[in-house]
Amino acid sequence: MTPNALSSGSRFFAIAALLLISFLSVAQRSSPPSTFESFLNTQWWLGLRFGVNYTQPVATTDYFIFSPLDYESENLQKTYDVFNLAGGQAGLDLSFYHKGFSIGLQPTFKIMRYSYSNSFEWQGSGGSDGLETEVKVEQSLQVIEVPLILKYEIIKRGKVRPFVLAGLQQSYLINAQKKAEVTHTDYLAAIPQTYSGGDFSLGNTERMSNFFGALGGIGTSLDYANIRTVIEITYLYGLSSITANGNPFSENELVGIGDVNDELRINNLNAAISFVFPLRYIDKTFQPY
Amino acid sequence: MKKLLYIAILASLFGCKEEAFEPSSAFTRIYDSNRGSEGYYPIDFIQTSTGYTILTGQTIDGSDYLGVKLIRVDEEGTFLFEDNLTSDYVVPTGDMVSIDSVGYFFAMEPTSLNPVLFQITDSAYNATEIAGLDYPLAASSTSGGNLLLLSYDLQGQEMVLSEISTAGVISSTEGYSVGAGSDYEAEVIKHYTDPERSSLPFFCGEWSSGSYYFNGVYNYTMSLVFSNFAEQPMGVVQGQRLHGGLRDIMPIQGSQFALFGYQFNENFIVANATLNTTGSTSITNYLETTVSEFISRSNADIVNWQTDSQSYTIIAAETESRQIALYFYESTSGELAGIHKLGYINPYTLSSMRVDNEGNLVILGTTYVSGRFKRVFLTKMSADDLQSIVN
Repeated sequence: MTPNALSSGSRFFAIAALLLISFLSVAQRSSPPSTFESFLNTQWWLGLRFGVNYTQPVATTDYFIFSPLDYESENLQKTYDVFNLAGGQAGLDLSFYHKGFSIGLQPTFKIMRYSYSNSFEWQGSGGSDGLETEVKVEQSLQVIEVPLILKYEIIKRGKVRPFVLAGLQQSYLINAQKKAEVTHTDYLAAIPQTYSGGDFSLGNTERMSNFFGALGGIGTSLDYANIRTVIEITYLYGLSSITANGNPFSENELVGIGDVNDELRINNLNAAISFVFPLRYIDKTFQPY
Repeated sequence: MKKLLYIAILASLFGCKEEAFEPSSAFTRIYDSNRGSEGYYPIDFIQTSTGYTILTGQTIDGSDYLGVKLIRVDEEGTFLFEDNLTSDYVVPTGDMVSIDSVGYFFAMEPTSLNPVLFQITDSAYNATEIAGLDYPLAASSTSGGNLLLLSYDLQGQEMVLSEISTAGVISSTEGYSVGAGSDYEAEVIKHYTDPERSSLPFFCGEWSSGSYYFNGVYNYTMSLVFSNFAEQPMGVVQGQRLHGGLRDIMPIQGSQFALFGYQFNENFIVANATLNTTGSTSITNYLETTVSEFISRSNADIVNWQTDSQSYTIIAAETESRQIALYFYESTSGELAGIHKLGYINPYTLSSMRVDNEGNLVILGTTYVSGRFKRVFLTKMSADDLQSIVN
């Protein structure tokens, strides 16, 4: 499951990079430096940032509630869905730019979501009165994410300025919610009957933790309409566990349906747009736009 | 100075403290079978050098008695293998005891009805039939490194308390009449054959060196009998026929005991009671405060748990909401120090509870997976988690 999931993320990233580079190659132009461009050579930028994100959970250690007596424990492994649920983020975009390089912080409130499922099967004594149970779980994380980003502008002049970026991010957990949906299929009769085993929702902030990771991405700045618009696509690679701080079995209300957190890290694909303003706008040396 | 400030801010932003989790320190395991009809009746467990051995009964074809099965698990609670003794032995009897790092328990040979003493190691077992006794009901260990067995003498209509060496030799034995003209054979048989509805709270133990107790039928009632293997009991706490009595007790100090009792459908907890061990009293002298959340005729277990500064009595029983409730009392004062519940969504029942060598609490019972399949569960709560309950 994991290798496929990584490759799909990489494919998405590569396609996005290709599209952006193609667009930039058309958009770029060459002209002598203007006063305006000199003004932009050294600058602080501040603005607002919004976006969507998709999460890829990666289990590093599996934990199971069930310990099988007469079947393989591999049957109990959870099936994680990859980049399937959209999350959102909003925050600030603060950076200092100097001659093609910029360093910045993007403190962001972010909601990330991922899901997984688990299924169990029991054989009836008569061969037909068996039962299947499926547990679908959706985990939501609300964090304050603080990325420290270094950007390099590939084209340093003009209204379209593509860049690449890399950095580190630390995420501070605010809240975590888990929803579990249980469905039974009963083979007691000739026609299997499917019915709900209940929906369960609980806060599980105490069983998750802060985490950190590295990030890389591409984007472009667009200087139109008297404002700088920044479009970015970033891939966050989790370097630490989002769970496993302490005992995952402690106080677990979902034990009865066989659910316990694996030790997980998460990768996160982000698309964001920022609207930023130069802070050195009023200056005796430079004129505004 | 500014540089130092920046470095400190960055360090706090990206610093990350990882608290390691050791899977053997705490876990919950449900031992599942893909056979829907599999029916286990866990009795007790002991800690071994490599994990835990669980004694469980299992329904078998061709016998009204439960067969004997041992489930071996590692220190993280993961299933290793089973010893299936169902074809040879029935009536698994608790407590399991550990003497000099060797585990022991009793069962019954289905033809002779004699108790069988099992000596178990991490990977094997040895069975010794004990002649001269019938129907094992409960077991414990003594401070002298022997076993204590409560059994029922069908011919003599007596509860029989015996001290038996680890080699299976009876060193002391004494029978106590269930009451002249009274016949409890049917009740004892139902205790074996219908454990969910008709089990009786038989238990035995040693409360001070050379002084023993058993909970059994004496003088027509389910009574707590104090004995030193003399012909007459030292003392008796009488119940109310089979409708009232004690489910479990734990000696605290001298004649102070923690009690869990019942009277018809009500349950009582007394965290620290001084019992009259040399006279005849009634259970109604001690059972004053009912605990309404416990299910009628709930199973119960009591253990002692110690921290560096305090000794606690933990009393576990089953609740009306089909959870297992743990009540923490300060042992000496009897003051309630904390309550904790185990089990959500599916029903849970209690079989046994022990404090392991590291001060963690291990609880054995059953749960009904997907609301219908009865399965054995084993939960280990770390000492740190327990500490947070009483703080």
